Order: sequence, then structure tokens, then C-alpha cells
Amino acid sequence: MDVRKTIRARARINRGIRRFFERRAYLEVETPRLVPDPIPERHIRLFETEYRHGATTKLYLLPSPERYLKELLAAGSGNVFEFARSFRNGESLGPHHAPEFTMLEWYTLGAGASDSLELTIELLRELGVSGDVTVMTMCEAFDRFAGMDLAASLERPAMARACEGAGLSVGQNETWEDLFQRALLTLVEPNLPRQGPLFITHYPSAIPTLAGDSRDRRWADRWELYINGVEIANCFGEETDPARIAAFVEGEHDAVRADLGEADAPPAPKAFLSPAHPLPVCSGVALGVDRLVMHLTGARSLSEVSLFPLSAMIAAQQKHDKEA
Amino acid sequence: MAKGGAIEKGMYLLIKGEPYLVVEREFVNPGKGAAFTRCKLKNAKNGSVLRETIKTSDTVDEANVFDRDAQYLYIDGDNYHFMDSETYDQFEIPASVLADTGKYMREGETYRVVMWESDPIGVTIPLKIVYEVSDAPDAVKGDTVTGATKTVTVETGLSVQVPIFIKTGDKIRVNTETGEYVERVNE
Repeated sequence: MDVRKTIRARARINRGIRRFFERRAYLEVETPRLVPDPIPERHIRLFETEYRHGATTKLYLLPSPERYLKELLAAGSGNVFEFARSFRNGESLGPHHAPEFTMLEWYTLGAGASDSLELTIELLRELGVSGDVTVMTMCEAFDRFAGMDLAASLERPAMARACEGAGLSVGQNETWEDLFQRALLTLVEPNLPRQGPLFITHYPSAIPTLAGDSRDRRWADRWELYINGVEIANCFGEETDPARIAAFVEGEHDAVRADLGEADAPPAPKAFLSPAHPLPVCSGVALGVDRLVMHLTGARSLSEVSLFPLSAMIAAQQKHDKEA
Repeated sequence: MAKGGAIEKGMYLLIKGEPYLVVEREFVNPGKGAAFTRCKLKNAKNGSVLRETIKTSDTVDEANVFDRDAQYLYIDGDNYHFMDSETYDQFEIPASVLADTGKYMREGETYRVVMWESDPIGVTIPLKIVYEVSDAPDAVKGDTVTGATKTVTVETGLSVQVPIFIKTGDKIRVNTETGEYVERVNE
């Protein structure tokens, strides 16, 4: 795509998003990107750097603005949104992945995941996303596309049998979550309907996240939005219980330490949403702006909608190094 | 051994003792979840297709393959017959293994044959090959829509969709991955 077209398309979409939230009295905020103690997440690798100020302090680029947006909500900010540059290390460059991307995140007080779903549909329509909206539970998606009974496969032995029955490989050391993800990515995701926005709701609570439970505690109050088979947004009815938030942080921190070793694991946040500063009841949505721009402009790869694609910068540098 | 995240298209993996060619690969990383490489694999011995999703942090075994030059002689229905360029040994490869590759090969031409243990399991052909058009129907009169195409047959029997100006005896370049016409070649 012509770079001038890309500039205009991105400006138009950003303006549309700002107008949408400003009309509804959400405040636009800016939170830090460079911090000493991010929320640990076992599957996310961080970019790290050093702040040299006489002493040196290790700092990390945040993979999402969740940490500080939640601190603001706990401090009484009211409904907020942020366009947050976000950074994830260790991902291959590809049509749908880049280590630096823009995440739109917004929080609505007093809301659950289903309220956020309605608001998200309004936002998509206003930005020009067309096509019928489909909403299905993860259980329905597994039944329809994998022929697997997810509700009966919430323990590892049953999940292993179901995966083997569906012809998937099952490694001895693989956890329930590994097997769930393999079935989702191999059998379900490639077969999802592609004609309009698709919301998959009620993820298994067995996947550790900061989502609260739905009324049936086996399922989290959570959904993900797919457009054209690509994951665009993730939403939680947020967990507000300080004890369960602390347990999540500790569990993820332990997993990261087991993976990276004690010395290389970033420190966990202290007193995050503690009983003295609890998170009010709310629902948050994180939406990949670059992927949405891709969809709205008909682009086939993130590099087409990026003004300065990292893949091109790296290729140019490698060429330069080779010639030198 | 290779990391799941380093799997590339064209690599041969060893799965349950069988060699598989990586036909498609895609990096997938859910916002909340581990990173995987989603692969479409083709069994190099019988052509059956397998879909595997491998964690990028897991290791996979690579099949120990090697190449030899061989001349393609002829096809007898279910088998393609070759002759090794060094030893003059003759051997055959089942059509099911070569699948689409077979239809692009030209008799008498030398190709690189991929070997695993003592079995030939594939043939590497150029991405683009020039063929002579052996049969091109006349364009339908009045059909002047831009981008109009017709089907022609080339010397090897392969059918290709081409622009309507292509005539019998023309040389055309064809993409062997997609089967699509690339351009007319003027010599």
C-alpha cells in the first residue's frame, strides 16, 4: 500500500476510536512503557534494558498497558482508554506478528464481558467493519470444529484421550493447557467462520488469566474477537478479588522463574491491586490496532500497514553488514 | 534436532519414524498462550497430509535427507522412472509421492532427487520452467475483456491458463508452485 494511503487510513481509524470513546466520556490516559516490575506472564518474553544513573536499574518494556490502567482504576480514574505501544520479545516476524505494536485498551466500570461485547460491536460498526456478528462459546466451537466435548475434557487425562481421538499428538510432558491450545490452533481456529466479526466466549477457567469466573465457574468471564480468522481483541470481566490476583501473579512469577532462572526473571509487582487499593468491578478490552487497520484496508500483512516495518529495517541492516 | 520455532517450509521432519516434508508453516501465538508453529506436512513416502501444531520451544527431529542427480525417463501410470546420473541405476518414485511436482517434469531432463535412507522421497524442480505451447485454441471472437484467459496445453501435456494472445509454438514461463502462467518468453 502507498505510504500516504497508510498514513491517512491510520489517522482516520485513530480519530474514529478517539471520537467513539470521548462521546461516551472515557478519558484518554498515558501510562508508562518502561518499568522495573511488570505483571509476570509465563508465555510472554520481555525486552529488557538498563537505566544508568550512577547505579543501574533493570527496566522492561511493557507487553500491554494493563498494569497501570488497573492502578488508575483502583485510584478512582473512572472509565479510561489508551493507545499503548506494546512490546513482545521472541515472536517470529510474520503477517500477524511484530515485536512492537499498538494496543488499544479500555476499561468500563461496573461492566462484565458481555457489556464489553456490545460496546465492541458498536465500535466495530462505527469504524466500518461489516458482516454478520457471530457469538459462540468455546464449548460450541470445539464441538463444531474439532468434534470434541470440551466440557468433558477439562482434566488432563480426558483432554489427552480427546486429542488422540482427534488425531493430534500428545506429548508426555505436555500440560492440559498445551493440549487445549494445540486442539484450538490445529482444529478450531483454521475452521472458524470468516464472514464477519466472531466472538468466542467462555474460555476454560483452567487457563490462568486475570479474568473473573462466569456464573458457571468452569468458564472464565472472557471472550476473544476474531475477524477473518485472526485474533483481534481479548476481553475480561476482570478479577477483582485481591487474594486471587496475588495468587495469579505468584503463579506466573513462579512459572517465569522456572523457565528463565531466578537471576533472569523480572521481579513481580509489589502490592498490585492489594486490599488497600482494590480494583473496582470492571471489564477491560485489549484490541490490536494494527491488525484492525489491516482488516479495514484489505492489507494482508502487518508490514503493509506499518509506516516503518521492522522486517524491512532488519533486512536493510543485514545487507549493510554483509557489504561492510 | 531443530526448535519448533525454527521449522521452515521445505524442511524434512522425522515423525514417528517417517519422513515428512513441511509444505506450509505459520507462526501462531495467542495473546494469552504459548507460541506454536502450525504446520502442514506431507508424508514423503506415501503423500498423506498431516497437520501438526508444535510448540516453538519444543524440539523436533529432522529427517536426514540427501540429494542425488537423476534423469527423468518416463511415467508408467503409477510410477515415475529415473536413472541415477552417476551410477546409471534405474529406480522409480510413486506418483502419489511426487503429487503436483510430477506434472511439471520433462522427460529426459535431469533433476535433484531427495533421498532418505535408501528411498527416493521427492524431486526438486525449478520454481519457474519454460515450456512450448503445443496446443492453443483460437481466442473467442469479441472476447476483448482485459484479463481474459484461455486454457492451452504445453509439450509435457500440462494445462495452463494463459492470456488470449498466446499461440501454438509460443514459449511460456510457468510457476511450478502455483501452476500459474508468468510471462511469454521471446527468444
